[in-house]
Amino acid sequence: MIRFDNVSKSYPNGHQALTNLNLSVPKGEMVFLTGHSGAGKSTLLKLIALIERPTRGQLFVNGRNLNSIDRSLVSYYRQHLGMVFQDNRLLQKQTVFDNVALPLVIKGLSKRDIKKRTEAALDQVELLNKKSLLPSSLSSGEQQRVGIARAIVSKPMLLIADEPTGNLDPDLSWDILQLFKRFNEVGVTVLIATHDLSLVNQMDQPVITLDHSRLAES
Amino acid sequence: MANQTKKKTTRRKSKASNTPTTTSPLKLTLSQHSFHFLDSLKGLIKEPISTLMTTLVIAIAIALPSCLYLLISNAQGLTERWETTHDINVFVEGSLSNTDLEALQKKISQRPDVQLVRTISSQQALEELKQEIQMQMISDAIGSNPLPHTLIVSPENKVISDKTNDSIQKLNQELADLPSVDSVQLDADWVLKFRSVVDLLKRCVYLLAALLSLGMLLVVSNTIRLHVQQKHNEIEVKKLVGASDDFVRRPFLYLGFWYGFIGSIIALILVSILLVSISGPASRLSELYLSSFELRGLKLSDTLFLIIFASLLSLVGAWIAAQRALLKIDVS
Repeated sequence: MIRFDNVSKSYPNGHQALTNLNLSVPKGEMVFLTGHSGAGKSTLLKLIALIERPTRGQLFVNGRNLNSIDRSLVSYYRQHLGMVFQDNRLLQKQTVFDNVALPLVIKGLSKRDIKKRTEAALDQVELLNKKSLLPSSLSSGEQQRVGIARAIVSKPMLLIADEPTGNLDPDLSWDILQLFKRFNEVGVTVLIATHDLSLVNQMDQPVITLDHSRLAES
Repeated sequence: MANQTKKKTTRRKSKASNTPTTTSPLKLTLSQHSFHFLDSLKGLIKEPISTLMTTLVIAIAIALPSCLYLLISNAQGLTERWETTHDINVFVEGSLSNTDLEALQKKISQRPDVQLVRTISSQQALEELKQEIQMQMISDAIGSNPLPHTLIVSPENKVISDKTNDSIQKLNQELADLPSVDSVQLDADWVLKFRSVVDLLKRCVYLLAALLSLGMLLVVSNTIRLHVQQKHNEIEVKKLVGASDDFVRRPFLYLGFWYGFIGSIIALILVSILLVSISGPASRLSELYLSSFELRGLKLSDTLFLIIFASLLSLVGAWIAAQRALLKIDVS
């Protein structure tokens, strides 16, 4: 599903975020990406989301070389990608329902389809009863679940998450990871960046570890 | 995903081709447009104070030149009523004999821009004058008749209807240049002067309107820029979940449209209020001078033009601002 071919990324300020990275994540897997902060986890996810472009090397997602997707087509590429952020990045002035429905509105689905699929997604994260509330009135765990619902509402084949449990206590974190696991079980490839090793160890899933911009020897 | 992405490359224009449910591109575009169309209006209603302030600025920018335009076109209407006679009085040198006078009359009446020439001989003129004033004594005292022969020249209609006044001025000048003509006098001379002043003022109003339009463009542009700044975070999130530049820009374009549209409606209301408030005094004034003068309002075509012009202009303003601001917010 994801293949990095000798990928390097350095920022204009000279910081070398990734060096000659080779890795692959097979379809249907749920993989954790760990490493100390600054090891390059976020950069790796940004490359997959086309928020950043590699300085060198090739990056394939579902067989497609991301270098060949030009700027005007990035938005369509992202419509097939689910993204979850540490700070959930919800629109605070819009209701839970509108937040989750956003990717479908962008795709231009009919009102009926949007309602049906948004409610299904909210149901999966068990927040259907809070759909007309504003994000600020939810707990941080619930807000993160809204973010996850938004990421999976357009049924992406790949779900990437950057420290999705970063702001949550261990119990809530465990719940969130179980949620990811459930999506993985229905065929979604999941890549989660986290520095919470104890949590990763409990999950018993493949782990990719980065160390100072390179793949750590395991 | 790769297949779908590939399909997108080949069918870039049909943006909806990759949606799993069957939505036609046209339907997709329409539904998104109607969504943003109404959503941007709702946004304006949610913030009534700032909306009112911006639209009022736009309204004043439109209402000011509109009112001046109305004032001037009403003044023009007045001159049309005044110009009942465009006759030119040609005073002939006293020494001219009757035969020469007839020849001159013939010569002038043959001109293509002259409709009719009437002759008032010096004797006739004196008789008329005597009837009007009791000046027997004066005339006796002078002895001889001091009045010249007069030719009253009525120009052709096409000369009268020439708004630039050039034709009538030319006729006037050419008559004055004829040998044995002493002087000429245009009856409607002051009307023509008035018309020239009105013409000049009209040009000033056009210039003012152009300047205020530019001002309006800048006001809308700046307002939209602030809206974009306010929604910086929202725009980023939208882009991250797959919104195209079009999708992100569209709400701001509609916002611009609404500003212009609402502004022009308010402007029309302002103009109407002004018309109603001055129609009383205007009709009292006209009763004193003219029997039937009616204050002209904006025609339907003027009204439509104002609305469309204002809406389009602020759409352009919004586009400039949104484009500039969106280039700065780039998550890819």
